[in-house]
Amino acid sequence: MSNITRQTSDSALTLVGGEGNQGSQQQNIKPIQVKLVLLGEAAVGKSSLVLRFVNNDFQENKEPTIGAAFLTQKCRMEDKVLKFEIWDTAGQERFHSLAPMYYRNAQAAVVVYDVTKAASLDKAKSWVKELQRQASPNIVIALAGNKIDLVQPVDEGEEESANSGRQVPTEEAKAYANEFGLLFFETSAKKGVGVREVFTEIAKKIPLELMMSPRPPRQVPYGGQNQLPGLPTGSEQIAGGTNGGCNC
Amino acid sequence: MKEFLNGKLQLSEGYLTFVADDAKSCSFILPLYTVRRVERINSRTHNFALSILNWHQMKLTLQINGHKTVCEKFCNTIRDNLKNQVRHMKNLRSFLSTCFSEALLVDPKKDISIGGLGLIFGFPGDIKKLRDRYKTKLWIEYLQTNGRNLTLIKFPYFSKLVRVGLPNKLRGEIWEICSGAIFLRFVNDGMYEKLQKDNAGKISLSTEEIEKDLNRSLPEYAAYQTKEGINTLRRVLTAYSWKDPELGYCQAMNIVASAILIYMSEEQAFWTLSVLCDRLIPGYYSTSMYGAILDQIIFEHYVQNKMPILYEHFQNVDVQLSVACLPWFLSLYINSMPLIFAFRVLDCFFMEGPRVLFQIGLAILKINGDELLTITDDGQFIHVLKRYFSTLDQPAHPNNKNQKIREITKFNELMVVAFKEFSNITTESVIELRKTHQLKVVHNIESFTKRGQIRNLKDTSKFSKNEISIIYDKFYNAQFYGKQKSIRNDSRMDLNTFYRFLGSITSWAKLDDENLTKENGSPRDNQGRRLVGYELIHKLFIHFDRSQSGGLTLQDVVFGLGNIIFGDLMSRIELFFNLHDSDKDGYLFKEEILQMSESFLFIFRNRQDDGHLGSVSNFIKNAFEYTDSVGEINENDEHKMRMSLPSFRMVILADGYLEEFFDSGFAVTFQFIEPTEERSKGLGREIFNALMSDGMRLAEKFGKKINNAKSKSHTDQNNSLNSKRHSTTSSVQSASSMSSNNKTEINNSNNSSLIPRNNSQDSFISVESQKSLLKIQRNDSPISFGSDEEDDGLMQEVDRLLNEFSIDENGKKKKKYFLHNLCCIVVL
Ligand SMILES: Nc1nc2c(ncn2[C@@H]2O[C@H](COP(=O)(O)OP(=O)(O)O)[C@@H](O)[C@H]2O)c(=O)[nH]1
Ligand SMILES: [Mg+2]
Repeated sequence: MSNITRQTSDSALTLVGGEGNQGSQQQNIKPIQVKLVLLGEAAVGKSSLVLRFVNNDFQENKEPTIGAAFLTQKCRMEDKVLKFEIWDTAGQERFHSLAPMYYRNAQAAVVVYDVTKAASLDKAKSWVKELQRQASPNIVIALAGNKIDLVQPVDEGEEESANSGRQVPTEEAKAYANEFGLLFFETSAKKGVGVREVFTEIAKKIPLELMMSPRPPRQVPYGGQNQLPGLPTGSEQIAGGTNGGCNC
Repeated sequence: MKEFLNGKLQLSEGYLTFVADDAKSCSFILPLYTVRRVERINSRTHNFALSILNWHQMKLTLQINGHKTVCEKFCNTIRDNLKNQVRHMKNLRSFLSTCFSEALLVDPKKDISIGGLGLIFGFPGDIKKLRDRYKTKLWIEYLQTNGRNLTLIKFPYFSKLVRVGLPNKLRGEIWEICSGAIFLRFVNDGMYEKLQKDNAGKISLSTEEIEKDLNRSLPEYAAYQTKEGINTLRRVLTAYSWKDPELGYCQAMNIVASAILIYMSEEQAFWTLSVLCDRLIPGYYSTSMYGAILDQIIFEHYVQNKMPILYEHFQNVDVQLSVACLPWFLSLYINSMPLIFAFRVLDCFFMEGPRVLFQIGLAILKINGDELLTITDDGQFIHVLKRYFSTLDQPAHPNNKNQKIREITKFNELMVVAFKEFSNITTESVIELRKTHQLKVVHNIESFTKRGQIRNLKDTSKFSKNEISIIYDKFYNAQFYGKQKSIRNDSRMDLNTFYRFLGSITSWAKLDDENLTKENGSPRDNQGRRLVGYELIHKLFIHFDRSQSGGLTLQDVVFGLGNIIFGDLMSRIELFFNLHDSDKDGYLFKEEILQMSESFLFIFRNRQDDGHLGSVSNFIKNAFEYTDSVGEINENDEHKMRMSLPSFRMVILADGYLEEFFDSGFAVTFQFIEPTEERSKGLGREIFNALMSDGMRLAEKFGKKINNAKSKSHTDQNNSLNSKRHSTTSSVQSASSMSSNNKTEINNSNNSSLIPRNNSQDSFISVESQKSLLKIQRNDSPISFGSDEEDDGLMQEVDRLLNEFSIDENGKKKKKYFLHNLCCIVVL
């Protein structure tokens, strides 16, 4: 399975430090913004993956998230500078109806499941379906099976409990990903395996050239389908709105 | 010196409430169990007056303006109600020992350990900077003269003291008083402990979700880095999830609970959560979160109206306000601002209700308007706001020459903009907008959920989109009427619901149709036939339940129906065979064959032709003819006659009528048409009603204000004591229609503005006087400020803020009321 994650090592993504300390030569390159959303069942490791990517760190998530947490990460790939704007959504089921707010206009999505929990792949599949119906038509979706450290013995000693924990065979998930045109990875946020690759492959697959313009071309809103349910769409005026203000 | 206050008096079974006509100059809620003595004052005139002495030795004089008989009635009612409240009086003393204000007034210098985690782990902010001591002193004066905890009387000065920020140790109690949670805590004495005890050790989805969030609820506050603090938070959240299992636990409740627990005891926080979820922000934390979405729409509406240019800009760059604003509302700003400021916002929120959330939100956008006009995406939007929140303590006008102005912080500015420029965001307008939009919101959430669920069907059989949609609606309609509570996404349909469901798509399955209830045949026959129906549908239910979980998912139903409808002659014959082969041994025995024939008769019962009777008797005859011989088994035992599937097939195919039934007749009985009238009372309608009653409850809380506003113009023509029946579902109507109701009546009713909904023993008898007069006897020497060692900077801050907030009173700065005696006189 490691060939899945290794194929990317040639054109790697290098992280650019925090907002403040960007080198002068990067400043004149306008970063290309990539809006990315993480979806998946609670506790599969979405926040951990982001944290690993952004801070190269693994820790218990202490950030109280309501709806979704917002993080950014600048990266360099070849001659381009990318800025990932990441929405890390909260897992509670009742927040589901708020999710469209975060994936609307997203250029990329990472749908995460836990390789030790079969049900989490079902949930991931349902997210994929929803994205393919309701998100931007060109959204790049990556499927990430997380927590492989739990099923891959790192050193020989850990072998006993190793593969018994796996509930989602790599081949099964990979076949599914192929069928639906998704990027596929197995990752460990804990050990830092495969995480960078997820973002690199996404960056490669996104049609960056199209987005070199100051702002990415905006998809026509879907008549409210990809909005917070109940929120008015751009064109729809709320009844009772006054026309008194400036409408320039 | 005496001052008269006109206003409306309401008497309920448990409370006496008063709101001045201007809704500002005075209001109180007096629980009758705090009343020590009521005296009728016999005046020479025809005026009717009562003098009430309460627990805290305050004397209120009520002069009621009304016809004599009405006054008599009022008198009798209050006497009866007082009697009924005696049972509560004995709890008063012990309850008051849990109120910080009591101990504070006894000895302000003493260390009192009544309150929240802050007492142990410290309160956020610098006590000196917050002027905590000085504020406490002002509060001591206020509480000494104007009542406290259960008996507090609110004068305009009260809200000013709240707006400049509550002192740490009193904060929890004032929140509790403002929100009304204190009354819930009083009447539900012991319930919190009981919930803990009854549910000790139990786990649920909610408790698991709570567990995940405990370590990320205000982790920066010291208490939540300790076991003690975490345990406190866990107890409150889990107790609440047991109190309202349908709501359970929603992320963001952990933030709110962890914040208020700094200032409140567990029990106080528990009841405050309860008021939040039920009344102040209904539906925010429910399983569909409709309330939160609804308020986002209302907020957008306000932004559009008040800041059209900004609104337009957001539209142009396609940034949705909610990405930043939803967490503000869900966590009452606690998660957004530095804690000390968030608590100032909370102070106002508990005092004035949800309008404050909108006012603050609008002010934030307004103050940052210029910068927000330059943003082009979510990231920048969030960044601007984040930076703003992190600089709230800094001067708003750092370069101003005037030092006083330089001292104004961004937070001061925020408060002023919020309450001055957006003072016309009223509770009434929030309620009105909630009413306007809720149906749409519910509908959209519903159709969003529906789309998702339909999409997630693994197998839609050969049904068209429209048919699936109808099956979905019928599936959830049946469930809704079955359980009478909100649906969860994972709900499975039980057998009873399945009867109803199947009856809604195929006529033979209607178990209450005419042929079963009407005269044809004896009642016993009908009963028997209906039992056959139950039996048959039960068999189908078991057949549909592929996972044998005892409940059907939408997928099960779609799959099962699809097999019937899109199957063929042979598959349907097999289905019937299997349905009736109860022991699954591959044979139908005599009993089962007879059941089969009864099933046929049941399904055919509404057919007008007589052909089916002949066919069914043919069936029985042939069936017994074709039964396979069971050689080995006792031959003369006719119970061992059995029929295999191939024989069954032959029997069916031998009869044209039955063949037709299996070939097409059975399938076409399933109709996926949606009767319009059924749709209208569909799911959305029900949730809508639930929403309405939420709205009502909220409206009730503020109902007095509405009453006042509406009734004012009518007071001349309507001098009599006007009373109005309140009931849970009609309070808004009653509020708006009351001016047309000139009749005097005193009615029992089930609910009231201040009575918790789960507190039915305290149902209201509501007597409202349209033109009551509250007379206030003012203390001759108003207590002066700043008589002490406190620095004059404080004086200035308080004075400045007080001035800023006096705008509510039409620019006229009101005097502070400090009363030893409160005298409400209601004149005819
Ligand atoms: N062993 C292991 N644990 C992980 C990994 N990623 C996350 N976790 C753990 O899984 C739990 C949930 O992680 P979190 O990132 O909060 O999940 P989220 O709800 O999807 O954001 C935490 O206890 C993490 O420590 C991983 O790659 N390996
Ligand atoms: Mg997370």
